[in-house]
Amino acid sequence: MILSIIIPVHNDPEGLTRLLRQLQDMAVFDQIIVSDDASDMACRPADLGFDEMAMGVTYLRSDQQRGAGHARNQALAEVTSDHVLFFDSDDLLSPEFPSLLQSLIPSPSQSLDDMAFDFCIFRHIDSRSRAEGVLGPMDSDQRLWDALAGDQGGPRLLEATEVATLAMVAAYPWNKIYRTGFLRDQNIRCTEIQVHNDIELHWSSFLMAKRVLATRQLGCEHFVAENGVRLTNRRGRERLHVFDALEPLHGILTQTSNAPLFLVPLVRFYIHLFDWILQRLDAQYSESFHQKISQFLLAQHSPATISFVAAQDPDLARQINVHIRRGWA
Amino acid sequence: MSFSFIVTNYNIEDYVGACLDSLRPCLQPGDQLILVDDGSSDLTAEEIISWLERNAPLEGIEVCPIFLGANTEGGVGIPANIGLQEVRRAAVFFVDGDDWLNVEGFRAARRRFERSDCDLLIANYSLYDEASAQITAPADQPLWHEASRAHSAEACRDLALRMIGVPWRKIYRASFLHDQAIRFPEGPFFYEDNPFHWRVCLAARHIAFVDRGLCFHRVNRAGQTMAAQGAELEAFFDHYETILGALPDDRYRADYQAGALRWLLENMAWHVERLRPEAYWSYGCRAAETLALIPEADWQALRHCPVAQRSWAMARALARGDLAAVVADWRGQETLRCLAAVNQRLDQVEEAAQHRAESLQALRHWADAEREVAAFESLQALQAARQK
Repeated sequence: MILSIIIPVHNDPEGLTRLLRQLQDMAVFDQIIVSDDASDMACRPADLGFDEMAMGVTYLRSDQQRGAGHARNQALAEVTSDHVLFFDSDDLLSPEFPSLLQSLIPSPSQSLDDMAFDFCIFRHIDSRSRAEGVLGPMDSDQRLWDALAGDQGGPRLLEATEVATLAMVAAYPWNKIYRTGFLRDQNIRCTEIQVHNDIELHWSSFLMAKRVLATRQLGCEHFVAENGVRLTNRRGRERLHVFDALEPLHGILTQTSNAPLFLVPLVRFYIHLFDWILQRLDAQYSESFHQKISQFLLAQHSPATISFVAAQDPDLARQINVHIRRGWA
Repeated sequence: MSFSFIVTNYNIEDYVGACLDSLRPCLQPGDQLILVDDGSSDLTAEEIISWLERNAPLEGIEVCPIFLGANTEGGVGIPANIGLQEVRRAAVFFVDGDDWLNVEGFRAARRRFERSDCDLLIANYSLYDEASAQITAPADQPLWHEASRAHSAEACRDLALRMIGVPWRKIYRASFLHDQAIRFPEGPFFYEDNPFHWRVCLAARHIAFVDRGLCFHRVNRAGQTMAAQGAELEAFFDHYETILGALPDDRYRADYQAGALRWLLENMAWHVERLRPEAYWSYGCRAAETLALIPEADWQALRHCPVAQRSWAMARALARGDLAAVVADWRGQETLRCLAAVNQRLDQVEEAAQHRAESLQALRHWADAEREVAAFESLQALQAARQK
């Protein structure tokens, strides 16, 4: 397996330095693409003391800040390897990552096809869980992992229903190793918006993948600083662009034969997301956001989809109607 | 050889017709049909007359109908004895008026009796449960494998005494009953066929066995003697004393006293399961009275007998006069039976409630879903109207 790592970066030379040091030591990536989203002071690995040639670093830079989605898409176009990992400059790989990679290489008794995958999702350590003494993701994610049957040690091919279940894990870009050909053939990309750029990448991957592997091994650690400048803590109008990420997903859903498996999880995901955003959004934007939610739901749903959702989860259908009404108030 | 059939009847208007229908093909010219109605208060007597009219003339059959007009004391003892008095043929066969005969089985038993010089022939039968419509074998079915091995007269007698003593499974030589002057005990009690069985078995010179089902015996019928649950079961202690008193000589006394006790203990085992709580003290006192007089040698003879063990501890305690302890135990057992029944009922109720709750929840789920779909459709229509 030839593997690339894509690292979008914006004004985070410390984080990038820390990560590049780890990558240098680990030496498992053939290509490291640093995609600088117009940092005020360029975050160029060479300037931070790294030998770009020796490490296989490709450095890209936007002339204006357009968000991590754009930075990732730009980097993906430069990938030369057969597999790729999206990452963040302020996170770190786990010490287990090399052995995780090793477990994706077919054993002598397996054919290449046995281990072929469109993407392989792995667990991660959330710094908030670690603070509570748990090495793993947040509880809501862990419950989904626990719902998977089997020994759940190394990578395992998931059934279609399991794929739909696991799609509900937090929509991060950096917990999956992708087959580059899968992303390119299906034209899967990040939404080029400031926040929520990774929702489209996550869900369209789940909707379109034919072979998904999952492993309980812990691939990386995600650091969350409360009240920091991370995207998570943004409260402004950039959140209103979340619909740019969601609309294409309904389009994909109409084309996939797995739509009956995914419709309810997807709706559940974004209804929850709307509530999450409403809790963080500055009050001045909430009316506008309510209106957008209402328009989005009316445009994307039909009596047929509502009937389907309601038959499985009447309360979810009720929440859709509540959101539509609230947008009119 | 001609037969005298004695059909005893009491309040069985729904069954006697079918019984006589099944008996008809068993009759041969020269046979005698004695029909005794023990003063039924329902239409049993009318049913008998009507059957006789429908089937008249019964060619070559001497029909002897006897309508007692008033119900006699006790169970089947008096009507059966009255029937016996009328017997004019060489063999006697009792028929319970609410049972029905298995024609093939009866004919096989009859042929066997005719070829044999036995005083008594014992055959098999089936139980028909009126409530569940199930046919089962009687409780002494396991004893049948001994029948082919019982060669000596004493071995046959021992086996016969351990079998269920009902009269309607047997064919009797009439001269034998007459010469020995064997009759049912008469008195204010039921289960009089037990002492009769003992007298017959002890007096018979030769007993034969044939493992063919003679008849289907109806059980679980309302009003049936075997459904007794109260003081009438105390008759067994009288019967036990009658059986002991009738043991003909010292030789029999030595051999069969313990056998009689085994018979009593075997019956006590099922009595306890049937007894109503209000009959506990009365039954217990009567049992203690009889059991206290039983010699230790009889008890010791049964120490290792599995049949006797079924009621052993209880009977020994009653013999010692520990009546209170035994009744307390019966009450405990009864409480456990009640509790088990209550628990079973609770389980059923719980299951039904759960089922109802699930149905209700499914209905609510459906109604909620329908409501939301309707709400969405009206919101969509409203939106379309706004955009115009």
